[in-house]
Amino acid sequence: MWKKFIALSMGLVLCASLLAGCGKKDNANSGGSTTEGSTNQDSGKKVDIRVTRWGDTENKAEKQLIDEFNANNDKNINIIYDVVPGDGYGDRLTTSFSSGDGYDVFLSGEGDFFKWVDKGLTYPMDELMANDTSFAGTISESLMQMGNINGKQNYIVADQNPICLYYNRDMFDAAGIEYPNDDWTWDDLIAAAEKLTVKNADGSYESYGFNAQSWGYAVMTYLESLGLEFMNEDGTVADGYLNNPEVAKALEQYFAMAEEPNKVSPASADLDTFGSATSMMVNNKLGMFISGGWDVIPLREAGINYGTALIPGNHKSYVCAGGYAIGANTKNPEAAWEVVKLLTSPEASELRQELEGILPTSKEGMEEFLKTADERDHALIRTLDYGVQPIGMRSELGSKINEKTSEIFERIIYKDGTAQEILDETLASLK
Amino acid sequence: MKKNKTAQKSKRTIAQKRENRYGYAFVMPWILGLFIFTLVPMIFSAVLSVCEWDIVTGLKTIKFVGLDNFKRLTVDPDFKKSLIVTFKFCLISIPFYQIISLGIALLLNMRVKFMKSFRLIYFLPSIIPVIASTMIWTQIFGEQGLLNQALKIFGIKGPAWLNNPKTALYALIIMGVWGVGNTMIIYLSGLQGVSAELKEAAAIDGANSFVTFFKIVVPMISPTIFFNVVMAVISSFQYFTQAFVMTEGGPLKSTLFYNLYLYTTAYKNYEMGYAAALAWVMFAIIMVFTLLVIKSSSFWVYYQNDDKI
Amino acid sequence: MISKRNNILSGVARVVSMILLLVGAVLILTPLLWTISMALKPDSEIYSSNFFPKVLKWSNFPKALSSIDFFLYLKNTLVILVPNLIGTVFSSALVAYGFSRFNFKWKRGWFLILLATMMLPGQITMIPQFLIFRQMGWVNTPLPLIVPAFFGGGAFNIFLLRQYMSGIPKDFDEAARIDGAGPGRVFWKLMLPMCKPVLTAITIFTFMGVWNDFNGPLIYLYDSKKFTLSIGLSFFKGLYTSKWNLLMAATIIVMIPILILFFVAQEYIIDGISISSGTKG
Repeated sequence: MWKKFIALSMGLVLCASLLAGCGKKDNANSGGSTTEGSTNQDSGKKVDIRVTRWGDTENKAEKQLIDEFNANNDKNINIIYDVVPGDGYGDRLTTSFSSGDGYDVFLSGEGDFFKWVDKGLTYPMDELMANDTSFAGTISESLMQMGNINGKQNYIVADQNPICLYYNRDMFDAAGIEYPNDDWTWDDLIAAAEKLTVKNADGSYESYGFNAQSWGYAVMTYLESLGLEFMNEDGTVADGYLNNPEVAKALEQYFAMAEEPNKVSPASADLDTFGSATSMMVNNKLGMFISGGWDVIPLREAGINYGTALIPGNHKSYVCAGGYAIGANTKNPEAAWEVVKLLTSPEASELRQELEGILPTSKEGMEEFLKTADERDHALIRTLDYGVQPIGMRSELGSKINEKTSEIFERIIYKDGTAQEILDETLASLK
Repeated sequence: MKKNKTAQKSKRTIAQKRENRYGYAFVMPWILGLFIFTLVPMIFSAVLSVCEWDIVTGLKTIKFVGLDNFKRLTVDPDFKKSLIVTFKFCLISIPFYQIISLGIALLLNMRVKFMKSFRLIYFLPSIIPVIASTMIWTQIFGEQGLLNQALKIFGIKGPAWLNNPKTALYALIIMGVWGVGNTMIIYLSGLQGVSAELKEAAAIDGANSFVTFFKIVVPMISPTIFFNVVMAVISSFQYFTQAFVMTEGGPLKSTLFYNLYLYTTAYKNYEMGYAAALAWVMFAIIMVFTLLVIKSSSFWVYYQNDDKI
Repeated sequence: MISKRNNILSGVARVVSMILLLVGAVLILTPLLWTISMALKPDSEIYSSNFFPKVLKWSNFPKALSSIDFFLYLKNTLVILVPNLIGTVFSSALVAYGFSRFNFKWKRGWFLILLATMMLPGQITMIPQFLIFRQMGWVNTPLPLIVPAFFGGGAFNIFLLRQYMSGIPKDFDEAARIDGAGPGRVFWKLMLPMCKPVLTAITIFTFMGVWNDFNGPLIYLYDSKKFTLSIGLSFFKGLYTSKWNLLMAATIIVMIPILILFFVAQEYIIDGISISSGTKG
């Protein structure tokens, strides 16, 4: 019996190591490419470039581009493409960089642009760009500027999402109100929202006029369009901006929209029951909200009669963007650069526009879009002329303040002191 | 006489050797796994707790900082806050969930009609993936959600549970009742071990069901209770997922659980060293409470064999 | 006389417990029913507050199936699941038997270490564990998600089994030993069958753990062709942020296998050889 037992436990271990054996073989052609990549081009062996982005299984544009490239390129490059669900993208990047490997090319949202540069994960592309004539001028100047962090081109923007005002035309028509126009102020918006807000007999709300959400970019866009900011433009000074009494007043007015009396906006608690602002609008329960270009597709698919408009006030607005960076640990910056070029090329932009409804990134592309696109999406492109750089991208200080914004807004909403006190405290905590 | 003694002694050592040989042979897979997969990460994290590491910058950037991380704990308001939230949660949820799951298990252990279906129904909630269950509950707890609609029948106007700093933590505790299925199953399998004859004998002796329960059933399933309590202590202190998905620690940090704070420290602020220090403090806390339960077990846990831990 | 009173009492108890069970069942089923009704709603009704949709849209289910590569993810999940079940059940039983039946040296110490391994938050050990598996060259293979199951099958399961085995009188195995059976045979012929209820419970827990595990596959599997169902479900969340009906439909599809398993397995948990009936045999 003793022997039988030994046999069983040996069997278990054997099983495990056998599995391990299979895995190793499997791994040889897919994992740890950055180290293998160094066995360079002239040996004739292909260079593996590992690329990652968040997304869903339907990042059709990337997939198509990469498949074609892998089949046809004459530069001996083989792209390994990892898509990660949005929920886990941060964890994946963290773990893969923790070992020192990381990715050769990765996508980042503009909110993290500064952070990755600060941690030294990106490889500046200025030299690569200077030596490459095929790249110049394919992407609009303002977008190139967005990817320029600390004076170096650390990212090349692949998709952009200006933030503008969406509205439900049917609801406006039914209430007999004029559509938002370029002359609108925030007072006009609130007046319209009041008319669009309908209360039921039992005190519940049938519909709301506007969504005064606590999402940082929406609130910051609101402030910018009133000529207010948390910090100066080059991101060096917050004192006098963050604690500006005008800012405090504006913030209190903004969040009062979601409170009784004169409630014209759902509170975040209402959104839990109603779902997202987009779906509320689709169901004619919301007149207006502020959001990025990604909401065009769901609204279009739902078949509702929507429109876009510039942000009221001075029209200034945040621009969201995703940009590709070269990982600092890459062994083949030149090959990685080829891949970044591929993924940010005018062809890529066109494909994304066609397959995923993402706005073009080149000047020509935008002009073309204005001519051909649906009139109701025009404000999206026009907003770009009023784009401001989000504070998180301006400096390390800005990135710190950016991380505090949700806490600031939460405290104002739950009345954890007056807005002025909260802003003063935040400023003090930064020192 | 003397000869006999040595013979006895050598017999004992032979027996002990045999116990050692078989014992270690059987637990060997685990010991191997411990050394290969578990121990190194634990030691690594212990080392990290006296270091500074940004994680994303790679292993080369680990820097020794001595006890700085532990000193920082004493002045960190979020550390204190998260500790309070976690203790509050544990204090309420550990006894509450144990009583409820044992109660349900007792009900499900009776021989009544449709028992199979009942068992399935009561286990159902624990099967639902977190993605879905959190969505369901976010809606239930909404201002106009199912819960408040039900309360309205009794004329009570409920708050927006998860959006209120006063109620958010309790909402999570209520939601947790839904997930007691696993604990319940373990109680149920433990109750199967209580022989019907013993209970019947007690009943014939005139003991009412109350007495039977405390004098017969509880001692018989005490090893199971012990297991569930120890596991509840270990897992409640590490409560994470639901709060991470549903409240992200808010509103106003009212659901900032310890592990949530730890996660934010490690993966949002990239302060792995400080996070490791936090982790080892939690380790010590859980260890103390587990040892307390183990020490107390000699008074209330009855094993068939002399199997005290 | 006494037994008659007891009978009436137990009759009352039966009615009371039946009512309690029913109330509980309603409390549990209402949200679940609501989930199902959500999965059957047409897009236009997702956020309407009526409990049941006006039209039942069964096509949500095939639609949910077709928008992710369901069968590929299912296959990948099974590749991880099956070895996990085998490894966990056998190795945890072996180790638990060792802990419950032999008084080896430093047993108490080892057992405390076993418990201690559960006390350090997983968020902290995740990175070093990843680094180890990377060193082994196992990243981007399912191995990190499979092999550990063969080395003890998890502290939770060992502890649970050890507790259960401690409830089985030692007289049984001693009787068998006198009949000439060695420890291996006692384990195989006596212990394993007697632990059937709890082993079934462990099977269900392991099944659910692997089935719903998101973080493990996320960190270790890079290639989207190797992804599991739980990652697929998360893709789904990204794809249909506002289409909860489809997400719910997908969730229900993913839950069905566990439901079936539980329904079949509960016979073994509940009606399987319990310790008392073992006494008779």
